[in-house]
Amino acid sequence: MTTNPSILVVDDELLVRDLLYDFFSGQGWEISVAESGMKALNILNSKKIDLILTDLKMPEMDGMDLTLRVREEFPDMPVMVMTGYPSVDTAIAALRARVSDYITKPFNINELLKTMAAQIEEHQRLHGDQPRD
Amino acid sequence: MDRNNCCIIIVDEDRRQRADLEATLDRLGYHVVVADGREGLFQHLERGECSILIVSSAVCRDDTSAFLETVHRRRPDLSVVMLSDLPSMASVIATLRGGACDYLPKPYTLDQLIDCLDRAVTAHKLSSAHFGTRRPITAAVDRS
Repeated sequence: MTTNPSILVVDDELLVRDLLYDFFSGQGWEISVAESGMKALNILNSKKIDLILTDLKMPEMDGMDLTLRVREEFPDMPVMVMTGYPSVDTAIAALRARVSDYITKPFNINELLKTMAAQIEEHQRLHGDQPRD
Repeated sequence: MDRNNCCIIIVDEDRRQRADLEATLDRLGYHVVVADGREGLFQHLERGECSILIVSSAVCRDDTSAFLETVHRRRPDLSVVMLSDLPSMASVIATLRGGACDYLPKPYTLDQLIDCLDRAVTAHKLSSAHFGTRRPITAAVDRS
């Protein structure tokens, strides 16, 4: 895995964004945050991201719509979804959208870190680590 | 990949449901092989003739992750579709983490089955290109 993975966290809740920003920054990771799917797409088009962690339930563009847009533009990008409102239907939709994982809130942040690190490492093993822009 | 060139293996311990699905896929033009359990499945996988596996969740015996890991270790390019009589969050998430490409609750319509197979064919093409894209990584993460 690259020394400092670059991740994008998408959540409309400021508290969640702040929590994840502080934690992953503390791990030495490079973290970008977005409060909406549209802002996330803008970030994706402007910098190299190793993994996206997105909330499912958001206004306007929800996490599943964002995932489908990401699949069109960045087909191999690891995407993990998180939700406080888990359901069989959204989990199946996530599976079909080829998400890397489906995380239910509240989550254990150390477990989340291990899962994300493993996803990034697996992705880099398969696709190679390309230099950042 | 057209249907005549696509081989699907069905694994379901329920003989009647297995036969119904086999007949349906046969009518749709797929080349179909069947197995009544894990042993038969693994023998077919060794021959490497199929690109899609349709498996009943009952075959996983409450350990979906381990079952899918075993399947993908043998055939990382195989698209796996999980059928379930009793869909649950735990089952769907284990299927997702195990690298399957679809999960279809029973009963399903013919259109749902066809859509599912279209996705499975696409997933197989992607997996074949990358050879291992959908490998499960659950083994790397201790979730206990």
